[in-house]
Amino acid sequence: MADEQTTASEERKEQALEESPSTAALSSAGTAGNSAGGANFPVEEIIGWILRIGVTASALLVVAGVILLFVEHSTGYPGSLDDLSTLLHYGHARATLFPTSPGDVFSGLAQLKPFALIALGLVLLIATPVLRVAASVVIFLLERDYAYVFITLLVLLILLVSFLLGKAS
Amino acid sequence: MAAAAGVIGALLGLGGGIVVVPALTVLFGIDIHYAIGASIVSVIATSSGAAARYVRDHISNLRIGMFLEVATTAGAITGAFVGAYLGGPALFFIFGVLMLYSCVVMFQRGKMERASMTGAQDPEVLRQTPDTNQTLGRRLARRLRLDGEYYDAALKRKIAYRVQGVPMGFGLMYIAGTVSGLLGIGGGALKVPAMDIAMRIPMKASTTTSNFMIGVTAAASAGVYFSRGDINPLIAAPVALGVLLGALAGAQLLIRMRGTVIRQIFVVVLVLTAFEMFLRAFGLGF
Repeated sequence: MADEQTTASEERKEQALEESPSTAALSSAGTAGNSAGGANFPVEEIIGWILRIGVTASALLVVAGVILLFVEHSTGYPGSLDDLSTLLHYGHARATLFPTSPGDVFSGLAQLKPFALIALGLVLLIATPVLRVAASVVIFLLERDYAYVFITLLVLLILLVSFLLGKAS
Repeated sequence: MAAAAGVIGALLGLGGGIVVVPALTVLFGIDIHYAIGASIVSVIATSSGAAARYVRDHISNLRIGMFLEVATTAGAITGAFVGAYLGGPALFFIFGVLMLYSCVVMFQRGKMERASMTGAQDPEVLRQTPDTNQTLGRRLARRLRLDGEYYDAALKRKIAYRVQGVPMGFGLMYIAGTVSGLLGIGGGALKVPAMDIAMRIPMKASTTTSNFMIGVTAAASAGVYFSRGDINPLIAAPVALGVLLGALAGAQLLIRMRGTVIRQIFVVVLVLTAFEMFLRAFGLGF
């Protein structure tokens, strides 16, 4: 019964849209796909904030690392700033020239290596979209849109898999 | 240079990856692997830097983005692995072909819309002239609640849209993700036309949603590159910073421009980049 009524009103909406696209379009949007969260809870604002903070923090870390790079005139790893070819050559030894895993980054940080500081900023930057996906899970949970909670968790899972696969290769 | 890439990228939903790799390899003689690594970082920088604003303005469509992200991230992983086996020239060729194709299709669409334009009606409204509402694409779109609307500051009105071609869009997104994982680019050049043309999503919503999606797809590839030692702090740092500055500037512009103008710029950029791709496919570089 309820289903018939919903389809009937949907059909009326579609018809209205066909008759005058410009005005009817405004009223038939319904639950717009792009407005998440109720009027009371500015969830999308929060996502925006998270992104900005993440990006700003990563930029600051990178800048700090670059400053440190100049101040110490060293990367903290093998390779010389005076002979850039040592740092720009894409060889098998490149894993010694800069960190290539979170573990490397943190051990490098402990010794205040400039490249490790820069790498931390970059890793944080790489994490910002992942944070955004995680925040979206929360948004959909708040909206009780469980279909999309599932879809978003799926994306998060795929991202996790990609990071793990990266380490394996 | 990196700042200019950021502005263009943010404006067109491309993520700037297309400009970074050639610029680094040609102008600075940097090894292509490091260029790709830096490029993927710049792609995320553009995406996250610009998206903050779009989200607050409610232009991008979270559901469409998330749903399609399943395809793009899966594609990115595929691409990162297949990339080890495919040669560079083959990739550039494929990409060049795809881009020219999108370019041609978008151009045709622009022509059609201009021809049927009456009075002051904006093409973005006309494009929504409904097809049957019972196609598989429409049924999926309604089931997944992908339709949306946004307020267009340039036109000073709300634009509501209905999404079509869902399976096609999903498939195209998988391909876009794969190419992104292969070449270290954002893939916006494939994503935006897929949404604009196949799924009939208005240009502004397409580019802003693409921006958000690009970051997530790039993050999937970035993990692989980082572990491989393709992200060199010396190269990635200036590129990331330059692009962030550029992206912040570009986001301001997008809100205020008309969708059709954006499409025109997009076509020009596509043609230029496709040309570059073909050169590389035949080993000419540039």
